[in-house]
Amino acid sequence: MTQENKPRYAADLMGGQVALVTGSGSGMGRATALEMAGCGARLALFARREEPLEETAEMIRAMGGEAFVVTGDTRDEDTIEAAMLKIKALRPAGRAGEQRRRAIRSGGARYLQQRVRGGDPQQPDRFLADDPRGGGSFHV
Amino acid sequence: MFDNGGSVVFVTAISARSALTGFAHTVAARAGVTGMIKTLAAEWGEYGIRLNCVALGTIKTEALGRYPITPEQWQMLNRSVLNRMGAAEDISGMIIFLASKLGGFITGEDVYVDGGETLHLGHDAWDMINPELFEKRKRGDGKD
Repeated sequence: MTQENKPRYAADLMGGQVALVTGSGSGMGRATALEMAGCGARLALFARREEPLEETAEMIRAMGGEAFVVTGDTRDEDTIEAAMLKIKALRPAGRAGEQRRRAIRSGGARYLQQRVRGGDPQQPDRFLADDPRGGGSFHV
Repeated sequence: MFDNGGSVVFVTAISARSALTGFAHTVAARAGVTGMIKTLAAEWGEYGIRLNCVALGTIKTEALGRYPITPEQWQMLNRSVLNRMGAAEDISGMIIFLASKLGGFITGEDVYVDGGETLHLGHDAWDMINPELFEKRKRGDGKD
């Protein structure tokens, strides 16, 4: 994956933001993570396999950025929760109001599911399951 | 995120609003994500949370190698009007736009980054308004 050397966005565009990028071990996820790092964001790299994520993290550190790796599966609520806690820990004390965290997701919707009223994170498959009213999570 | 606001960007595909024969399951899921982010954007706007999705056309990444299709065949299948397949950087640029303050007033949107792939219709209007071309097509001569 090649990253253009010439930045398209300002180097401080995402300063103060933490970005969780799923699938950032390769392809579009990696390209997004690298460019975000070039915009001043701190990166939480999330995917199932650790090795490609570490490669991405090394690339980011080599360009002077900050990144950490969280392995997990977007279908597994526990791993998503662990990633979010790690991101939370990054926020400097006393600056809570200033710092806005950004979570970037590609693919599944399970993290959001647990936030939705009535959602059951233990049964993620019900999210797109056979409920004719539109899925187990969205009863209104 | 509910305390401080934030931005969520989902990656879907052009099949969120068009057909992809043989893949009804993934078309349904992608269209579902689009509907979900629109509703959650309306619900969570008060927390300063924006939700958007980027709908992809055909993007050239290593993942294309998982299909039993050669690079040449991908070029033939590609319906972009810009004479090329999309690159990972075409997508990352839009994701960063939506995730950063540049997209600070955009929420509940699905942005199509597809090189014009969804401009195509079932019929080619040139054939329909040009009797000569239409006759050739009827005879099976193709367009030329």
